[in-house]
Amino acid sequence: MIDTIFIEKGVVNHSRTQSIKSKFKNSTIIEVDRYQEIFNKRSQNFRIQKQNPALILAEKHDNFVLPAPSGFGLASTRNFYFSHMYNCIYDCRYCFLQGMYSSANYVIFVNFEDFFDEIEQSIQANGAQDLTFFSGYDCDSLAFENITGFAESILPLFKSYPKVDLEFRTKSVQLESLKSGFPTANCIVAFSMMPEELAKRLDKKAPSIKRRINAIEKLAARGWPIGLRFDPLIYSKDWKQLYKGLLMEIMHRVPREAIHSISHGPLRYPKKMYQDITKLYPEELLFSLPMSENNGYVDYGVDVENEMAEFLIKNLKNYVEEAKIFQCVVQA
Amino acid sequence: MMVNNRSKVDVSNFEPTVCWVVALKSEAKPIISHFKLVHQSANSIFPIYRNHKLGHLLIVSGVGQINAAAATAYLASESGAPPWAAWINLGIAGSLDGDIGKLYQGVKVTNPTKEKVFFPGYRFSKIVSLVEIQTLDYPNSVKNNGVLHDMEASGFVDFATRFSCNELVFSFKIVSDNSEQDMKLIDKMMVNSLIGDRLQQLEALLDEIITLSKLEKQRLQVPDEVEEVFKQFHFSVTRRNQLIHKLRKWKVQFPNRSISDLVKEAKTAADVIRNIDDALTDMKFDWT
Repeated sequence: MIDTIFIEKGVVNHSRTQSIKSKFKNSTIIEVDRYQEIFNKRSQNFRIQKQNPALILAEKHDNFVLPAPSGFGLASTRNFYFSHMYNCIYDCRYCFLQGMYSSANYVIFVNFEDFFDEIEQSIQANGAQDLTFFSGYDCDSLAFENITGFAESILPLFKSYPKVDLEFRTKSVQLESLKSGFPTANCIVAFSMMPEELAKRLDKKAPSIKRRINAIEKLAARGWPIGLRFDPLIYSKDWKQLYKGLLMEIMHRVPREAIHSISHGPLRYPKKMYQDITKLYPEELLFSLPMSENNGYVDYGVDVENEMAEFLIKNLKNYVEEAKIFQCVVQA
Repeated sequence: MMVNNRSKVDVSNFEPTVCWVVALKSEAKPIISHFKLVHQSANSIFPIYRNHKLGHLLIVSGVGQINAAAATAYLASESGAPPWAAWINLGIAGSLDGDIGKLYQGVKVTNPTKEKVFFPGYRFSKIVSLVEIQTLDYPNSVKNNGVLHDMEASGFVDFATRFSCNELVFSFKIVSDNSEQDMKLIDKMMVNSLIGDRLQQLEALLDEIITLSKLEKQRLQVPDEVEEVFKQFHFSVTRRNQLIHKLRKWKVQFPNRSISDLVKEAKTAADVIRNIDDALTDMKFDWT
């Protein structure tokens, strides 16, 4: 799976480096000074690299926890995000990561404890405010769990702060540690969803929607709070029918009591990012559809966005109370 | 060298797919012979060989990273190699612990003198072992464990990545000397044999490289029809770029339609672009 691991010299002997290395016994190991010297290199080809990404093990030195972008979040007063990993094992065609990074290689920051310290400091600094921490902004939170054990490591911290929420956002169904462990009431396992017909075209290398719903069902039965993320909403000729079918399937399979929150967001890119992504995949159907520039973002336009959002909310009302439904529109 | 009188390499109707940069004639010989490359202009600054049909070009750079960089830039300039051409630096290298005759792909290339570091090439770990290459300014008998030592890779990668993307730039090295076999034993015959023995493996690598190059070509190449439209109407630079961009989208949505549908009633470049825009307004696309 991973043929080459680049390791920062400073973390060669880190216990987590050793643990991750031990899972890739046949990989070539190459030492580097700093991860940026490979990750940020000019003239990299994300598309070709994505066919066989290398793993980079590094140490993060600062900015472990950041305020979530405006418009990103649920009901909490303050939202933060953190990224123990950059890039994702899936290859979803709409993903903004392919326009954000010049490299498709995976970076894992092995110094998890520094993340945990800064999360704890942020919790303490924000006193009595409602807080949510999001994992999975720059990666899939759980797709690499079997390799990193990140979720398993961070859960005890959030067990100590039961009023602070943590969201793992994922498409992964390899969630053995969660399925077998006791649920943590303030840790939401949030799945990105779209109709199977669209996912087959767009969620490349990711588990099918059917498998995701199976995983949700199991986690819900185990008692984990479930998040459903319809983000991005994808337009198509028969989008109403497709999304209605998806919602029916979820409602039939996942008990409403298990739902912590549902969020939805439009397909929307900053202009430069859209240009970069369409250059990478000029033959992609998704980007041949008409999208227009509005206030520095390229999107379907407000009418379509509103129509899709209203449709979703209307069809979810009988499933969960409206207070659990959030719109997620990242602002500049 | 008679630079002023040199004649250009004839690149008419020729699109290079693979550009080889090789330091020594003895390293190049097995490649020239195997791929039936033909010597080009006698007055060229660097000797250049070509196989028109296969799309291969080879330049003999001479020893050292400055020569490798200069030859790479020269070949790019002379050949008009497109951005989807693959660039390959092939040669011998020293090693402390590598097996003599073993072929490696350099996935980290350093230049300690200039403090430069590169990570070239899509990795072909199923075909070849991956390694770090350290490029030195002089032959060095003192070697590091697990690292190959050469004299060209860094200069080559530094320049080749200006003409093609990083993932299409490759440095392949064959171990010529190690702790048990001194570099003084290296001669032309030996070099010829080291490279010649690896031709089958190089062929396997080339198959993969050409596949990647084709993928890049599909991504980057301006559709042929665009040139036809350019001939019919005057397009400013901005409108040219708009046309290329929009026409690509149009082709995705209407793969079986001819561009003549968009052009036949147009009187100006703006009309052509407007016609494409009109065709691209239908959002109700059937994904299934």
